[in-house]
Amino acid sequence: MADEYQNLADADLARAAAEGDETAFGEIVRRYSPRVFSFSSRFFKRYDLIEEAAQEVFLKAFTQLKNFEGRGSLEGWLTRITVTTCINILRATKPQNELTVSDLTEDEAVWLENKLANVSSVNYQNEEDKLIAADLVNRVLETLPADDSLILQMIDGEGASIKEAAAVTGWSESKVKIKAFRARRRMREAVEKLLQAKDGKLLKTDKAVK
Amino acid sequence: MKDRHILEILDGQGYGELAAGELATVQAHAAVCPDCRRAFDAARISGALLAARAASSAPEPSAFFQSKVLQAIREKQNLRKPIAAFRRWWQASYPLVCSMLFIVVTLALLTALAPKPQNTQAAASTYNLYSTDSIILDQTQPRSITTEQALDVIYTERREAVKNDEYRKQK
Repeated sequence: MADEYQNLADADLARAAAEGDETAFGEIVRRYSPRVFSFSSRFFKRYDLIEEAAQEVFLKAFTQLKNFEGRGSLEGWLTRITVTTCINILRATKPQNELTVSDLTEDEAVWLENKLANVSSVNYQNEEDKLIAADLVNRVLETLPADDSLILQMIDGEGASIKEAAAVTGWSESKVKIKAFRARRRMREAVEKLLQAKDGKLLKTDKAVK
Repeated sequence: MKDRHILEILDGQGYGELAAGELATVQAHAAVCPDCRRAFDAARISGALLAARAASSAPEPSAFFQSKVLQAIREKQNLRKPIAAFRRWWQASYPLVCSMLFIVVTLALLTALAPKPQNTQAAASTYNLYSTDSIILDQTQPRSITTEQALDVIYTERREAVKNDEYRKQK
């Protein structure tokens, strides 16, 4: 029975699910949950939050399937629901405080120092280096508004074009451009503050070692 | 003091997307301006951090995710059932409930606005309380009526009846 559904096209699955066919909707979840997880992970760091957001996305999709007219792709429709759901969840929660130097671990301060010395390289020499960078970028992105964080990750991180970002978010291309400009400025300012404060932190560490 | 032109170049696109000419302009200025140097470093670090974020793999949904979603949908639908049943009942009984309410309100208004019984009616009802029939049939309220009062009522009625007969005969 489930095999039959695996061969169905997205439009047929959507139609069947809109009429209340649970197995058809189950197939939609199976097919698109990796993509929804991938997008949710751009907003949330913890697995339980990513899963919760993805579940919310599919619940919304189920209730709104009747509005899916089949003009665009089901994948694109689900991605837009994911983006708006995640942004709404993040807006509803208390805004993150500014990242300060006291939040910066010694490893992160050293990582910043190394990157300053050899910033042209973005190749990560070891797993530990990758983990430090991943943790630091998550914490910097958490201080930014949710849509800024998404745009930066898509355009500057993954190399998506303005047009692609506009299609995913449902925003106009000019809005994406403006948001990307502001988001870069916010992130640069956040990192600048960390760099300003990092020197003092390294200085303290050196004194403690001596 | 940061150069606005340099900042616009840095924020206009990702660090990795800067053209060679733009990069050279920024680097040349950053060499002589400490503030712009810091902004340039921050832009480079931001680019490196975002690249690190993109390189990290996204988490995969667990094997139970699909069943979790379907379970959540079933629970949501079950929650909606009582509400839907009430809505159906309300749609069916709405005209009946409204007409009943209308009747009740009309009756209440009529009761409130209707004229109160006048004194003559009140006297008649008091008189009826002590009528001969009620005394004979023992329906008198209160039961504490004395024998004298009972006889008085009977004789009064009798006298009135005799008077009425005489009046009819004269006619």
